[in-house]
Amino acid sequence: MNDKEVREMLENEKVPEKLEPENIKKMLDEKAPAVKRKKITAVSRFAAIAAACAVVSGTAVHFAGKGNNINKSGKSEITSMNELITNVTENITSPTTPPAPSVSSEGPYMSGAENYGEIYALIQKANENYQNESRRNSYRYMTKGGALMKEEEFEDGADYSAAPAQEDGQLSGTGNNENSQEHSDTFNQEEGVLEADIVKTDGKNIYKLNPGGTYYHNDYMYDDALMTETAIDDITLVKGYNRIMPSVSIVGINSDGSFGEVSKIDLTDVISKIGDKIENADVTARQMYLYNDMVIVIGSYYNWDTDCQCSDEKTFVAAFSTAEGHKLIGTYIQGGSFNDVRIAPDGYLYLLSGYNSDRFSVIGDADNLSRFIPRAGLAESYDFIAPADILMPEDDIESLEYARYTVIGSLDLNSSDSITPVTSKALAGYSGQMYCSANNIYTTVYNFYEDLPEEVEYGFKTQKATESEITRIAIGGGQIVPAATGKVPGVINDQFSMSEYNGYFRVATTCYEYEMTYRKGEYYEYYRYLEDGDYEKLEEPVKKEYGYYSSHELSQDNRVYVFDMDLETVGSIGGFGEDEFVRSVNFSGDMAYVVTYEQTDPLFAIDLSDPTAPKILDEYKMLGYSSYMQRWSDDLLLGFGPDADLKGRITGIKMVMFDNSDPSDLKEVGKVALNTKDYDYIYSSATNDRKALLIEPEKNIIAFPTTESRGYVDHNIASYKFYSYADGKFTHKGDITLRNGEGKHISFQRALYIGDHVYAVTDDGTVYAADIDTIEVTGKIKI
Amino acid sequence: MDFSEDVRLAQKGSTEAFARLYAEVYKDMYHIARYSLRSTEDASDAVSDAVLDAFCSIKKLRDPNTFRGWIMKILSVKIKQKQKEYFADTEELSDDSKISSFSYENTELKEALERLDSESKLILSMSVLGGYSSDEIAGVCRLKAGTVRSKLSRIKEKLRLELT
Repeated sequence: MNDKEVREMLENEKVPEKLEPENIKKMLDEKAPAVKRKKITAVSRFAAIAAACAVVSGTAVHFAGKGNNINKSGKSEITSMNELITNVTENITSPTTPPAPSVSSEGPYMSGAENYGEIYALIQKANENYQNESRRNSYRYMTKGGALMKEEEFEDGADYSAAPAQEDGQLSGTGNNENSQEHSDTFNQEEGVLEADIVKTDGKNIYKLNPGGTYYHNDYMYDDALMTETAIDDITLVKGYNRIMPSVSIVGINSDGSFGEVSKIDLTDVISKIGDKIENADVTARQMYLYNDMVIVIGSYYNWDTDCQCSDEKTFVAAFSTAEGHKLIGTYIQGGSFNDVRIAPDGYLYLLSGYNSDRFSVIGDADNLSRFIPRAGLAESYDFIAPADILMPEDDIESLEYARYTVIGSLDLNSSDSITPVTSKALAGYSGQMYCSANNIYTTVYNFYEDLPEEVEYGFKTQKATESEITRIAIGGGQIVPAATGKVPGVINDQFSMSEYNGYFRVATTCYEYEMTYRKGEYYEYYRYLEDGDYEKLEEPVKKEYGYYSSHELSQDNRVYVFDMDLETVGSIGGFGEDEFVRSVNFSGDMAYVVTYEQTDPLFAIDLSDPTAPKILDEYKMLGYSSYMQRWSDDLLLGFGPDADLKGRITGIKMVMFDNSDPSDLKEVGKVALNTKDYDYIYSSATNDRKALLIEPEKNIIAFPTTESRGYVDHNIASYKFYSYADGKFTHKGDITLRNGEGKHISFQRALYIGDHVYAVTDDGTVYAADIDTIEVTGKIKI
Repeated sequence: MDFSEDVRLAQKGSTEAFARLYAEVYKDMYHIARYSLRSTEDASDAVSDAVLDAFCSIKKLRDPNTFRGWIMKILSVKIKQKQKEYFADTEELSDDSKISSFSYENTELKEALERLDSESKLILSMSVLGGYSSDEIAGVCRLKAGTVRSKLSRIKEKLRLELT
């Protein structure tokens, strides 16, 4: 007997049809939302509910703003796919007059509602459209309920999880700290526009945000998986819900680098201000700032009300004094789920959240404001946003079952003993990736064009393409003024794919067009839903008709567009990196460096000095790709990301220094590659969380966290690896390392430096100190 | 095979991406389950239960490249649950209609394979079907990799002896 014989025998039996991937997908679409709600943590439930809503609603189309010509029924301004493809594959080089940055109230939205009744009427009308549409066109309903809804659902998913609880730390430059030492700071994409993180330092203390949250523990879960998620090892988990309070742990750093006092900011008091049904709610701290002698915690509150089958989602900002005792200064609450946050150079914080109304069918009448109007304000005066600040589309009401808003609130942080809300506005529509310059916030959302479906013998066929809609919102002194909208083909990878420079807005996108095929078929239902959300197995499977979607790609390429401040296209270049995705972008003055990836990593240097005629100067190919790039010096660009073999299989991580002194001749000047062999693995969380990187050219430090496993998967080694760079090569300075015992998955989250020491912080709250030159560990403390 | 993009999408709730991931492993999953369990129904149930759990908890999967081992771990729990039910429910045991085994000409090999204990079945099927390494199997079965290697060679030796 040999393996082959055994294999043939074991594979002898055909896999049942219901286990085929397309049927499993169908099963997940139907069942996962219900199961998720029951079994999984509230954070996950959150996304699951959105998914469930999306599925139920069939046509969960957001309000279309004026100028938004995407029409899911195919009646878009760009009427045919061919036209679209023609439009986007040519380089648009129509010259326009140089734009003048201006803030005008002439925005893409109407100036605001007269009263809440007007908004209700609008949702009502949109809902009628939705109802009619579902009745009128069963195919379209199927489409929306199927493939298209998947995208909607995906967006929802992105909305809630796009700001993963894990971001990293920084510190703020304000506050006069006598004992403060020189220290590192969260890297800000735009100078002076502060970004939040989960670990911050002011040179005197290290602050670590403990996200907390509600975790459900049952037989389906593996203890180690749960420990991984909570990373708290001193809490005994019980069966059922485990609520862990968010908090901030603080440790003082003495001038000799040793640890001082440990203290904690407890968020329990804050949480009691945020919601009344606090015992069921899931409260998570997401981001943190140190600013103006305040510790500012941004978090989310989520509660699912089984009575009304509706959710209560809030984002909060709690400010505490950095002084001993950490007095609570103020609590601001804003409706909707956390999206992103920035502090502008003038000391105003801007908070973005995504608010979904209840489904229209449960809103009831126009007086039930809490079901369709978002609220904002200090905890003491949390109230409905005024009708005039709810900016609705002027026309083009589409069909929808519930309304979505992007809520933007601003807080004045210029006084260190108060936080003062300035404005809050709700803009119809959802927002995904966001970018913020000193004077503008750019929100984006992507959509799919869809051609009218064509009937074929086995079902239907349609073509789709991606498009992103960008809204520029002028900010300053806490004011929030939507100023322009524009559209760009393709999807936007992250905030670094966008840049405002010299009166132009530049964006890199990946465009793909694909053909969706709907095949009719049938399946068997094995389960029946019960009213309480549970399900039971049927004795006899019931045959049902359904269909499934498949798609194949027609084309894919990458593009860079240049817009004026009215978000009119000025110039563009496309057609590069065919069949690849944008993985990272670095805009640097007139240059854009774009990494695309499928199997190898071309780094494109694109000259934008003539905004009407961008041109590619060079293309540098190598294995793997950079998931993040940051300027190291005038002539050097650092890239960090996964390494891969010739077949494009990810094998480990790599760090590369590029010489871009001559952008038309990019060179590799130094590389570190850490690769796996066989079934060992090495992985760095920094490949998808750039804030885990410590990049300090002035101190000549580059550090990234890794997790390695050799053989036995339950034993792994977590490290922060420190390097320096000089004369065309990286030098490994040393590691801060911990070895996980069986079932433990502690990993490093952030590294920073204060004075002559570096510090590495783990997700379970252990801080390691090491000498900045030798990386010799000098101390360790649990906070 | 790079799972990372699809894992990322699946973590955001995309069932389509999850189905793509699943497509890479489902045959192995089914055959492994089928070999360890009594009927096609039980095997299907174990796979679909595992898939549902996996989809719902994919956010916990930190390293996308361990997807295969991770979902197999979930499957192995499902298989063990089913096997426990067999012990608990003796009535089912007597119901011959529920028990079906492989149809294959090589009855000797078939019988030898059937005679293995449940852990050996899992180890053997993961190894020969999915080409899982002893390290991956170790992760699923919570054994040391060395133990898996020695068990595997003992299993094969046993099969060889029985067949000669």
